[in-house]
Parts: sequence; C-alpha cells; structure tokens
Amino acid sequence: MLPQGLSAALGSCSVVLNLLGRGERTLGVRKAVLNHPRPARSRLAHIPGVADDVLGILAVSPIDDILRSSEIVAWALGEASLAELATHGPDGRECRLQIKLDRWDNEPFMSPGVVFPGSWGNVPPGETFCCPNPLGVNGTICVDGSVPGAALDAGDGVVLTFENGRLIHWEGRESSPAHLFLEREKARAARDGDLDWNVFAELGIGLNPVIRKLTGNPLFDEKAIDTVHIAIGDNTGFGHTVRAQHHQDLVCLHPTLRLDEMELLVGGGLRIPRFESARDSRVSVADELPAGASVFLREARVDLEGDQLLRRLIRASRVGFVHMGSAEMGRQLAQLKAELETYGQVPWQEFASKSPYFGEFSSDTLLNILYHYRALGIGSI
Amino acid sequence: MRFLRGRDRGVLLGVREHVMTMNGTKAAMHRNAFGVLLDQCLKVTADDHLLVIYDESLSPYHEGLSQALRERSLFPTLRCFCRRRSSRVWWTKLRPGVTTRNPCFPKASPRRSVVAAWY
Repeated sequence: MLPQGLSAALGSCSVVLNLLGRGERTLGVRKAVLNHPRPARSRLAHIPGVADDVLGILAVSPIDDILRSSEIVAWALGEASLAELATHGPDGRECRLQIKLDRWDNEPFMSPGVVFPGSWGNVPPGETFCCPNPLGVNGTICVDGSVPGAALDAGDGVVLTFENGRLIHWEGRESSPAHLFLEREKARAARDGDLDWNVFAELGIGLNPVIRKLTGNPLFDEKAIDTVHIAIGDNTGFGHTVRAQHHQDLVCLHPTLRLDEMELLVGGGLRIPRFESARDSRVSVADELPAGASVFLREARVDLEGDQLLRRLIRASRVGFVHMGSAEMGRQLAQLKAELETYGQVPWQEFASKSPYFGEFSSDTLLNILYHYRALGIGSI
Repeated sequence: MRFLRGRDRGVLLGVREHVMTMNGTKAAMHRNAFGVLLDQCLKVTADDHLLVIYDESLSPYHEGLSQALRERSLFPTLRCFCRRRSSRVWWTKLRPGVTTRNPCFPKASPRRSVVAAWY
C-alpha cells in the first residue's frame, strides 16, 4: 500500500515521473504506483533504474520517427490474421513460427515514446507488440539476440519449439547463456509450481534506431532496431490471461516477419512505407456488417486528432492511436461520428439511407471501415 | 614537491580538462535526456502538475533533472522545494525500511506542497 501522501498526489497530478531504481526491492512499490488510480488524462513515464545508458539513448532517440513506425507496425499487426516469423538456427537451418492473430479483436500495444493522455510508457521507448492467443502459436524460432541477463554471441542461438503456445523443447549449445537461462527457468518453475512459465506471451518488434547493441537488459534489447522478441510467461500486466511469476523477453536478430501476405521485416529491416501506403490508399474494406443490424459507436475506441478520427488502442492503461486510412478518410469518419452520435443506436442501413455520403465516401463504406476496426458495436449498447 | 613544467604540466592539465569536459558533457546529456522526456515524451506544459517519484538511485542524475525542470520554469530551485507553495512539481523520495508517514503533506490540499513520502 502506498503512503497516504503519495496516494493523494497520484490522484491529483497530471504527469508522473516514476524514477525508482530497478530490482526486487522496489518492484512492489513500482507496481503499486502503476496500478494506483490516476486522473483520466494523466501521463506516466516509468524509468525503472535511471542510468547513463538509459539517458544517453533517450537524449538521441528520434521520438517522431519512432512514433510513426510504432503506429504503422500497430496497424499492420491489427490488420493481420497470421504472423509467420522466420529465423535461422546456429546450423543455418530455417526456423518458422506461426502465430495466429485476431486482427482488431486483439489490439496491439504501442511504446512510441510519446505518452498519450491516460497512458503510461516505459523509457527508453520503441516497440510495438501484441499478446496473441497462445493456442495459435506453433513451430520453431531461434533466439540468438539476448535473454534476460545475457547478450548472445554468434553460435549461442537456441532453437525453441512451441506447440499450441507452450514451449516444449529447446536445443542449442549447452554452454549457451540462452540454454542455461531456459534450464534455470525450468528448474525454478518446477520448484515454485509456476506452471505457465513457458507459455507464449508476446510478439514484439523493436523500433528504436538508436539501440543497436544488445546488453541482456530486456528494457533495452526489446526496443532494438532489426529485432523481434517473443516473451514467455506472464502477460496479465497487459490485460491478458497467462499468469506466471515472470515475463521473460527473448530477442531474435535479423528475422523475417510476414503478416498475412506482406512482409513487415525482411532480415530485420522494417518495411514501413509499404504498409503506410497500403493503409492510406485503401478506400474500402470487405462488407462485414450484418444486414439489418443496429450499430453504435464504441466511444472509447476512437478519438479526434484535429479534424480526423483515429482508432484508439486502449488496454491495461496503455493508450495508442492509429489512423484508419488516408487523412481525407479520417476527416469524413469524424463527420460520420458526429452524425452517428445524434442517433445513439440505429439500424445501419437506416442511417446510410438518411446520410448516404460523407465527402466522397458512402456511409456503407465508412460504417464498414469502423466495424472492421471494431470501433462500431452491434446490438444493444 | 616536484613542480610540473612544460609538457608534464600540459599533460596534467589536459587530463584534468578532459575529466571536466567529460563531467560537463555527461551533465548536459542528462539535462538533454530529461528535456526530451519532458518535451517530446510527456509533452509537459506549464499547466501540468508533475509528480516525481524517486529514490537514492537518482542521486547522480538529480541535478540534470532539476536543471531541465528549471529551464522549463517548472521548478525554480531544488533546495527550497519543500517551502515553495508556488511550485508545480512534487518530489517524492521513497526510502525503504522507514515507515514514518510524511508529516508535512497537507492532505486536504495536496497541490500546495511537495510530497516527501516513505514506505
């Protein structure tokens, strides 16, 4: 429990800088600060352990670039139903991990550097990630970047095998820090009865171009450019359901990541413009709205930025924003939102017949766009 | 005592200058980093009320943070923070093992003072 004075301050300040040191000693109070109710639009930056290297990276991190790539990667993850991650084991053989995604039903998380109102963020910034349903994770992956506590050298890579989301096997040089780490975790989990220590918890993409050298500190390594990380263990901190004693990030170098039909990373290199272009040039989505259904706007999932309507990502007190199409589409969606709000809940075909067009877009098109992003609810409010 | 002359003296001064430069560079880097945090990450404005929660691990960086805050008129001086009612920044230093409640925190009007809480 936090001291009374601190509780009162947290409850009424608009910005929090949480600069407590790292380690088990402060873990409880750091978590308590994060979980303590704060004003709705307050921002919290969390730097677990200020150090020269943290500040050195922060001082030169291109926040605007990270924000842009974080948003596009979030959009790409939100659009995808299947991720295929290709890495190479120490012997050169290709490893493939298939991860089923649930499109916008399972929102991605952004760590873009900018801490949006109502959100908190880690420093240094630079990743976008999601927590897929573990049952849809199958195949192999080579972890050759870092594990908590150790950056890996060439030849230290360990090939992990997942079956229905559970890590069932790993192989690699027995002296590798990654191999030793997993053996230690397995023994600890057996001793502590930590049953889900080895369940797939996260797929993340590093986006900070300043972080190029891995250190064994997950706070840095998961943000490193040209990397992908997965995590095993707990993801309840992100509002998901895998409960374990620890959340362990494992980093892979130079992976290729395919989302449905498009490659987001090739050998670690991000393909941002391609996805940005795909988003901005899309003028419609497949009709998904059931005929005759009553619809309502899910207010928490959208917000205005200037005159454009954006999709708000909000989960576990983390907030992010993605554009739902071109700037013009965003403007027309904002107009539609204003109109729709006057109805509350309405059969969408009735709405479309009364307000058939917003700019160059038909109401049908925009309503289907909103539904595609799960910003439109169906049925009772 | 041996007096340093010529090259030896230059070397010594050079080392000293280097050390000073390193310290100056580091302090500036700390200030810049906190500046990025305040301006670009958190977009802090003069209307915000900022709470800083820290412990002894912040000591080497305290000056850089307070400089960055001062530059933004968020915190005029570090030393008298407990007494400045106009301050818009609270500093909360947490110390392990001490259970004393902060005696000076005005519960009814938390905006008037700085928190110095313990756990």
